[in-house]
Amino acid sequence: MEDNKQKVGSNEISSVMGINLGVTFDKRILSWLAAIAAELVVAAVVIFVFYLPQMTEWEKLNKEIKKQETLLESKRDKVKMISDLEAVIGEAEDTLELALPPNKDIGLLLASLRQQSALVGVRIDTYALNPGEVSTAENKAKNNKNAEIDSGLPIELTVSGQIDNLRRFLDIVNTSLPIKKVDNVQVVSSEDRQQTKLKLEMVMYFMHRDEKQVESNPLRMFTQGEMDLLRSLSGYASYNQQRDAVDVPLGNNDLFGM
Amino acid sequence: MRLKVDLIPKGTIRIAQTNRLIKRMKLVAYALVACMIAAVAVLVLVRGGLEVRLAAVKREVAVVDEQLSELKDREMQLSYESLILSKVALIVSQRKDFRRIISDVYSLLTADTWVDALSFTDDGVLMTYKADGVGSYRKLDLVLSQLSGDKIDWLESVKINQVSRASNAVYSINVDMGIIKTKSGEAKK
Repeated sequence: MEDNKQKVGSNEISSVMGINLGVTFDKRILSWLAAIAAELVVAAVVIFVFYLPQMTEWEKLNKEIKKQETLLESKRDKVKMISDLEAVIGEAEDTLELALPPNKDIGLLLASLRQQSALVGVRIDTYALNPGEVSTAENKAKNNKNAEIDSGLPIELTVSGQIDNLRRFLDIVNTSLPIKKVDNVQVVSSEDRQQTKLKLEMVMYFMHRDEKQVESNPLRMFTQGEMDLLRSLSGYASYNQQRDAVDVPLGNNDLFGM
Repeated sequence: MRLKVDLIPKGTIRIAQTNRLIKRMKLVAYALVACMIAAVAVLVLVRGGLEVRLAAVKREVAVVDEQLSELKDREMQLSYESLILSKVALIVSQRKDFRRIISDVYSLLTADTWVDALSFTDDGVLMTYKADGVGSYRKLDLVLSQLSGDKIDWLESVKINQVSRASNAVYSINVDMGIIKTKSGEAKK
């Protein structure tokens, strides 16, 4: 280096590497300039090699945090929804399960109709139903395509009695569990006008618990209409098996026992 | 006469200026180093902070997951029950109020008149009502006029299909009652 630097004073140089700078510098200025330049180079290296990739990492971390926070929020919402639904359904749980039995329970349908007719003082004259495949109903209900078709059990029923009692019977059919839907009604008076016959075409519904469908059903809060329905369902009459068991020793398996 | 006094030699001033410049350069150099160290420290701290925050959120997620797995059976049960409620709501919404129609029709009957047959069709109600005793036809006519009036809100039209008299002096009228359709297309039964 000595060769390349022409000494001017003890600490001064006027050329670097044989190039004349035209001005005289203190050697220390040059070395500090070199140090600053080196620092700037190091800073640039740090920025490109360390800082920028780290910034990307920050962004990734921030995104991951946001994702996790959203996930946390949704999971918390789910926990809250479960507890809210629990509070809403609570005591109505049994009612709902009574509303739609899990299978084509012909015994339950007939026994409940018999109990309801006895309650309002009308007589069941005839009934006819075509349950279809009871043994494979569960498997069919698992298949969504057939679920709707298989979920109703149609029945034709003829009851007779006083018209007021028949109207009460219609009421009780509509406000009792399991849920039934009357599709058509025919009223015929007897010759002596003492009795009236009511021919009903109705459907009793059931719902098999299909685990796939249950799992894919997102939990949601009930609408006001559903809440009102739930409240009114709680007031519906349900088939009292205990009472029936005393009255009919054969129990519900006696499908044709009136 | 011009008097020139050099209080400080030029060389000394230059040295002082050089020293001042070096001092500033030192300051800049140290400041740069300090900035770099600070920047790296900030980077490390911020990243550490983010990682701590992420870990905390993940821990919370794990806690809630634990809660949810404990509630899994309950969740499935509630989901099943909400499916039942949806289906019940659908069934109930499709119900027709036959009872109301029957009650309304029977409320119009007077003494010695009765409904002989009543059935529901897609568009309305087909009814045969009868009367006997003195002034039978007038009694039937009275019921008919009440039917045609605006007493029954679901009634759209009344068409008389047949008026007949049997040998036992029992009069009967067969009417076809049109029912007002609701917006859903279902008859307002």
